[in-house]
Amino acid sequence: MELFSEVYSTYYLSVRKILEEAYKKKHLTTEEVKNIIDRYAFSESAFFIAPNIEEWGFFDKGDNYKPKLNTEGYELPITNLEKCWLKAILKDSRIGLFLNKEEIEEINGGLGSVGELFDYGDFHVFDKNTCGDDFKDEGYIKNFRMLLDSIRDNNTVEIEYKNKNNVLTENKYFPVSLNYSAKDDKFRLIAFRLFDKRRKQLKLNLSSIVRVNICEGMQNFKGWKDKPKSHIVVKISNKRNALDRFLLQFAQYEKESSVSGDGSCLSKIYYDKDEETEILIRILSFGPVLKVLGPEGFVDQIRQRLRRQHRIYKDIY
Amino acid sequence: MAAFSELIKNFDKIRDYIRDFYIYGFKTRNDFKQKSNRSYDNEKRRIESYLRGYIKQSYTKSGKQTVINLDSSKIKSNPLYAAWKSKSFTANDIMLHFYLLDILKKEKSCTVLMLTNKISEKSGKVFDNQTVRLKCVEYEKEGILVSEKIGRLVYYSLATLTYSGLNFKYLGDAINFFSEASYFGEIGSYIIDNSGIGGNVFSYKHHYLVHTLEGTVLYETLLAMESGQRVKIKAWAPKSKAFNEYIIVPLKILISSVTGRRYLCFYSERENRFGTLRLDSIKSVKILDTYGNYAEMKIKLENNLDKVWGVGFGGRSRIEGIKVVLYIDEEREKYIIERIIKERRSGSIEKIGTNTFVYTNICFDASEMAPWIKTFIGRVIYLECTNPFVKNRFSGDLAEMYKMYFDDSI
Repeated sequence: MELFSEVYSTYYLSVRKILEEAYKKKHLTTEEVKNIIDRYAFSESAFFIAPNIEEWGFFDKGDNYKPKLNTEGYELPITNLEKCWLKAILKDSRIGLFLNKEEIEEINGGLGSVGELFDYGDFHVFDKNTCGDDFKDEGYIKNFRMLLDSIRDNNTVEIEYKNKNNVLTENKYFPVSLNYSAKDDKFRLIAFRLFDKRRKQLKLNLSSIVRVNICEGMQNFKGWKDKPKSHIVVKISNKRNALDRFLLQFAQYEKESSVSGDGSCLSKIYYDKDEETEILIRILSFGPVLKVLGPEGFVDQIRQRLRRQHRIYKDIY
Repeated sequence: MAAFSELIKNFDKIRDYIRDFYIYGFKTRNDFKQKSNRSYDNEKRRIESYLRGYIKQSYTKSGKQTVINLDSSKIKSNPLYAAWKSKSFTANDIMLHFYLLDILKKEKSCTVLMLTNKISEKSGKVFDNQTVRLKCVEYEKEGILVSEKIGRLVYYSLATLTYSGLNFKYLGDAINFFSEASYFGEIGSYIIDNSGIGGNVFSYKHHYLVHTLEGTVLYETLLAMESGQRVKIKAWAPKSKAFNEYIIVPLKILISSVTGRRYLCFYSERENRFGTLRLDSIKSVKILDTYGNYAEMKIKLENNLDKVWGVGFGGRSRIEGIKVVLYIDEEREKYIIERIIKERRSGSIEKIGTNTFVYTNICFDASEMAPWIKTFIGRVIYLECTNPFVKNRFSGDLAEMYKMYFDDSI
């Protein structure tokens, strides 16, 4: 089994789409062929695929692309590599969110005798939080699927939610996405509250959602905007492999970095305001190999913690 | 001089460049001295082509920087998977691919001779039997074709299982989700491409897109682990700034969801100890012979993992104890206690006085805990460790931070 194979390439995919479209329409113009390549392949692919497509013998030569192949209902069989991957994910502890036991068995049977591509037991995530969501809880699964449907169908939902003070609240929301954190092993619903003029994006812990009702006929609101990002500027020194550690750890954030002559690096990191405490904690974990230069409000938070630390620590020299 | 092609034969060729453009966005052409300028220009052009919309360029004193600029919280599907879809092929490969599928869809089952004649007739290009046979054998291995021997003849037909044959309401959602949240997500992405699964409703946090670049290394390593074999690893050693070779027994993949690092945990027969190598430092994996005590060694590792804070199996002292006394306002800061419970690993937390809690743990290498302890700056009343380095480093770091953030006295 090849992990890196032309069978999965964007070139094969775009040729297939060209053939499908050409068969449907009887022929295609050069412009249409280029549009399909642009959609499915890389930005320069049209220069390589378009001149070769006649050479590959899929079309009758002429002004228009008339296909020689019938690709109606074309679908590549699931390859062994894909089967092995599917078999592996059927063993994932989160699979019950999507499939019940009978469905898992049926798919497993359909995939035949191939083995699993990997065994989850061969991996150990050593710093995953121990209080992840209970993916086997029936109520949780029901809510998860209703939210999944409502996002896909663009519907508003009514949610009964237990807030951090353990008080039940009920509100209508526009659900946007189901956000999964690998560290917390938790799902959060990203949503906007209906009738909230601030149109503030909210994150609701799925494990705190008691009940979900899909509001039929209430289509999701499209006018929401992404929250403006906050940012910090940090100087990372070249000590203790800090640069490598920092850049990988913060790779998930949008950033601008530049390196100076002494090997240190200046980096501007953009983040959601509601992640600020997490960012602060991560920054502190680097100790003195990293200095926050701004904004002043963020630097003040670090100073406050250091002042408090200075007051209480018994063994400072 | 060969003409430029977007496609590549070897995934390894582009892996380091993508990583450098994505992780170290500040590098310029001069920083890629180990490669020729032509090689840099070609790889950069390929990456720009694969990742259009995510490439940002800026000019600095040291030259032009090319950056893969991504906010992974907005990503529904990892853009770096594009690199996996860039394998080069010959004209024969692509012709045979589409003609075989076209013919076998109608004919159901054919011998190589029948296929060769039909392809030549339909395409207008003459193929020899051997070329078609090799492609059929290759596709049977990949699971695209199946064969049946009738008499002395081998008949090939299309494998019957397609994605649309798996008709389950949430299977597409599962594939969308696991293609980002599980291992070898690029394979999920292949299925999505082929089947046109849409409606992706997921987004991700603590999502390390760059892990996909280690796919080949991980795949080879897992193959060796499955059959309990030794491997010869070629890996970059940052201290010596050179590639080193190691013959080791691979046992487990250790992952940090916080730092994004992944490690191969192994047993070294030469040194009679467990160790780790960063997956992203590994250049190649060669599977060797079987290691006789594999199951035993794996159990030994599992029995020791609860004493490993991260990936360190310790030095001479073997076991180190640590005790951190923390100030936590138990009325207003319950969330801190909850956080410690979630993140404590094998350690324990206990209340020892009003608003005073003690966290204790024993592990092979307590210095690995230092970054985590520093996240409690502002609360640490007392720190004690059997390894004096840990306490000295903590105090020293604090002193340095005071200097950094307070111009005069604190």
